[in-house]
Amino acid sequence: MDRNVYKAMADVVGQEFISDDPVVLETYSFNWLTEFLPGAAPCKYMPHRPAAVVLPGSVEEVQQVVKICNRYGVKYKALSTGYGSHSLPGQGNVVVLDLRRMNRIVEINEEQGYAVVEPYVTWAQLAAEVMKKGYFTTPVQAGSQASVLANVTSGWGMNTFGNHGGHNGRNCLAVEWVLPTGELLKLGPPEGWFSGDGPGPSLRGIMRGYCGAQGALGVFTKVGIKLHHWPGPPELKTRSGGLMLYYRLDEIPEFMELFAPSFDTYEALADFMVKAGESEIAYSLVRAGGIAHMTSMFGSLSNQEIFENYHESGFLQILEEEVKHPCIVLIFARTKEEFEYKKAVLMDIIEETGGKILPPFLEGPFADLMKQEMPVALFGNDTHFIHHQGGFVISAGYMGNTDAVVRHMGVPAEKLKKKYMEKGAILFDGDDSTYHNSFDHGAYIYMEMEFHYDAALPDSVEASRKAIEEERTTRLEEKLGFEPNDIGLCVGDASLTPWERVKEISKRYMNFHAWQQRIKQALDPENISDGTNYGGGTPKPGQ
Amino acid sequence: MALKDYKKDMVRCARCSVCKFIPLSSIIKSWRFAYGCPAIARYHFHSYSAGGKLILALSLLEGRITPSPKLRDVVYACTLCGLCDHACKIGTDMEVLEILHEFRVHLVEKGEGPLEAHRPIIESIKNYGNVWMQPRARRERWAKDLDVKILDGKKVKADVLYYVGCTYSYDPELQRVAINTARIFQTAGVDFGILGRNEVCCVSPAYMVGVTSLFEEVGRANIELFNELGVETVVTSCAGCYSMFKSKYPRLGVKMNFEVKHTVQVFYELLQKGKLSPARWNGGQVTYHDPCHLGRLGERREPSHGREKYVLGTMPVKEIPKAMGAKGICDEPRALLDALGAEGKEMERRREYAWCCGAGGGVKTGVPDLASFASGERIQEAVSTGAGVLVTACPWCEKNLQDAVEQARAGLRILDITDVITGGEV
Ligand SMILES: Cc1cc2nc3c(=O)[nH]c(=O)nc-3n(C[C@H](O)[C@H](O)[C@@H](O)COP(=O)(O)OP(=O)(O)OC[C@H]3O[C@@H](n4cnc5c(N)ncnc54)[C@H](O)[C@@H]3O)c2cc1C
Ligand code: SF4
Ligand code: SF4
Repeated sequence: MDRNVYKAMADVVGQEFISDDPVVLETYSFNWLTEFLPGAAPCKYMPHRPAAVVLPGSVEEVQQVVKICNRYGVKYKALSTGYGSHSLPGQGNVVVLDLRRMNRIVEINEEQGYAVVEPYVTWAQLAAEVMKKGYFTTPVQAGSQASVLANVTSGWGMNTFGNHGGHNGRNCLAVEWVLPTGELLKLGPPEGWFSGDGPGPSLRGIMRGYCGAQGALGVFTKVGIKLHHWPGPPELKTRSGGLMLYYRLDEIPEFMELFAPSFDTYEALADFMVKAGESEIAYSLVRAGGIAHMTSMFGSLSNQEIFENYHESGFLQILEEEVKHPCIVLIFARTKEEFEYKKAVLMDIIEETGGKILPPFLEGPFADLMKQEMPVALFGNDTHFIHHQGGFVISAGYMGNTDAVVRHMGVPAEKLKKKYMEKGAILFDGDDSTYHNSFDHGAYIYMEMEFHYDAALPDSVEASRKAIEEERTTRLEEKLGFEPNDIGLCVGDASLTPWERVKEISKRYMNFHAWQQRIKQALDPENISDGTNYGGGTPKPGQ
Repeated sequence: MALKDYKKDMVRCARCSVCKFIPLSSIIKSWRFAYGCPAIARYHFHSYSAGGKLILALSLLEGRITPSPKLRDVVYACTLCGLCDHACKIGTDMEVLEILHEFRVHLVEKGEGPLEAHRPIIESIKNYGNVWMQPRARRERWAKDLDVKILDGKKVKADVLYYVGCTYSYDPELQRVAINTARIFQTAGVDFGILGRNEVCCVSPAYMVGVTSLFEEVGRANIELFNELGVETVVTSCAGCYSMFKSKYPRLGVKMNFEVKHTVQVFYELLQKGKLSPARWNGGQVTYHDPCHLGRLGERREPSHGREKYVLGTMPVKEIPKAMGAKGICDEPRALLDALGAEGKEMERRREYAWCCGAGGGVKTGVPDLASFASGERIQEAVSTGAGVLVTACPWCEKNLQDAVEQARAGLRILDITDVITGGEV
């Protein structure tokens, strides 16, 4: 890196907090899903190393570093915890701003139910603090070790508690924002951090849009996030020794119960999910595919146990006969009356829609798993298990009407996946590995199809890529594509750069990329904030 | 054994950062004490985390980077405490800790490790049989006023070998723990003896920094020596020695005709049999610090060396089941403190997810800055419980935490569990 630029940045953050040593840069070149990017080196390396990594400790330092980038024409990209290829520079000569040192919870406002956090506050940290005050958060499935701010301001927003807590894009109440030029902007109310309209007036579309600008529009340094009610105790008591996650609840909160109703057809499941959403009874309403997929992800702690406990033992077969299309409903209430009411409504809806709850023969470790361990997975949001097999990738995600998404999208997905499983190229985890997540009491639902492969087996990576490409084509042909969510993730067609992919998708959605470009140009006239995934354009490898 | 055996695990790293925190599974109780890895908490760049080191190991094997002083600094800025291994294994079958250790072995084999500061210790083990550059004859001095048998396996025999360890044998501040232990054993009627000047270092310091040749040579000799004594049990007060005997020596392939125990296990057994009548503790509230090598690394671990088979298409199943680290010695010290009437105040990071004191993995000697950062952090956590006393069961933890207390001028006493059993320092 140019020594003048390096020195200027080192003067701001201190020598200790900047590096362009290959030993540091190398670890900002490797990430989840990188193996699917065009031009990626084998073994999950990005095509480019960053020019340097800087660790600013305050908003003032962020501003100064960004201004230096503007002065010298050096691109930059911010990351919070940096989970995923979208957090790394998509082109050469980019400075990474790793925001790890900005890790404070600035405020928890009990009266108005919000928290203000810096980029490196994780969901787990925030949840631990706000539970003590009767609140809970909306942690992203990437896991509660990920950043609250990154998800709320800059990348997607789907979460397990969306049924009552909504999409995280909507939970954004106000932001402190270092614009691509280095100027500081506070969006939201002049005093405090609660603006019902989010970073109003109605600027959410410019600030983040649906998928977030993914680092292309400067750096967010604080966010005000809406908190949601927590009917449980100030702290959950857990103990070690579980079948699935290793930790289980020691005391199950009094008015909490998890149900896994199952349905014979996608139609019945869709009916149920619509009605359960509308009835506003569920703290969480999600699906993790069929029973084979559920057990292969979190049925046991190790791969060996998953294989022995479900496959070799024949237990999976018994389960599959009983449980065709399951989903997960968490009932959580403040009082006995509320709890009983919600359970009664749930049972009525299950009956009405032709569903059933797990039969009695499933008592024992499996029942304990559902009662004591699944809630830990949900609340702790310990989703690390999705990497059990060594690789996890999703098809383009879809956000749409609950009935339509659940009813129509399962069957084509099943057909498509089967062939790859039969070849042994991806994990044999049953036909249905669709994940669903209800939002705003069933107003809409998010769906993605999950493929598990082994990142250490190139053929397996390639098979997943092809499966996803085919899945996208099938959906387009069958006109099943609702709202695509693969912006930035970029799996599938390996010939397109992330920005070319955005443009492809954009054709079907009123050329939204043109608006992204305009926003980007207005806020970042010199195109300094790395626009790989948003509004910018990435050179092809070698260009 | 080779670093490349674990290449698949390196590729599988998702860069998720789970290894930087204590387990997410509703274990995190506050913003303040959520972090788990001392190295990344101190140095911030991703390279210093376990995930970062896995990427670097892969990059080295792939020829994307070459050995350099910076690489060596990063690899050795790690206490090998294994917190990352526990956290990662909640969701994967990856053998993170084995890789971190093999990385060091690899650097040593290439002439790139260990750190300069480690070399005198390695030489000391070779020349004097201890890490402190002390004459062999002084090893038994702590016992001179005690009527303790010195075992030779022929004329002088016993059921139990009390293996004291280098630090408790030589360190004037810590010899009291050996004295306490001998007295407790004598009072309880345990038939034990020591090796005296013939005791040789457990070789943990060499193993930890990757000097495998010395580990193999000294480790084998120690097993043979213990076998010759004909003892039923080898008991040690040092968590580091315990973990070596329990978990690393079995890897040498020499039959071990004895059981291995830490003194806290023996004290607990004596208590249960009514042979230990400790003084009631009246020193106020205590908090217990789990030494890594007694807690999560006190469980027997066998490496798979990457051996695995595929089931269900692409699901890799390791030949050897993973060790999570929760079968170590965590209950016994707590039960002892409870029985003594000591009111226990738990720290948030405890048992298999305890925060490391910062001394292990050659860090106290090689990267003192990290050692004092980690111990300072632990002291703050201990103080936050409201306890006035921190009890532990490892000489390295005790030394490092004591240094931190002095540095921070914190109003906290650091004691060994034998101090509590005997009712105060000897
Ligand atoms: C396995 C897995 C599962 C996932 N599941 C979901 C899911 O269910 N729902 C969902 O919404 N997302 C999901 N994601 C996507 C995404 O990684 C998360 O949304 C994101 O919040 C993770 O947080 P992070 O701290 O790792 O973000 P980072 O990776 O650090 O950042 C995410 C993006 O935001 C940008 N960014 C980060 N911080 C800032 C900042 N301060 N200012 C400006 N830009 C910034 C980065 O450049 C990057 O493009 C998943 C990711 C993974 C790896
Ligand atoms: S080592 Fe494990 S926990 Fe750490 S980043 Fe890699 S996969 Fe995640
Ligand atoms: S062994 Fe301990 S210090 Fe080393 S990387 Fe793992 S958690 Fe960090």
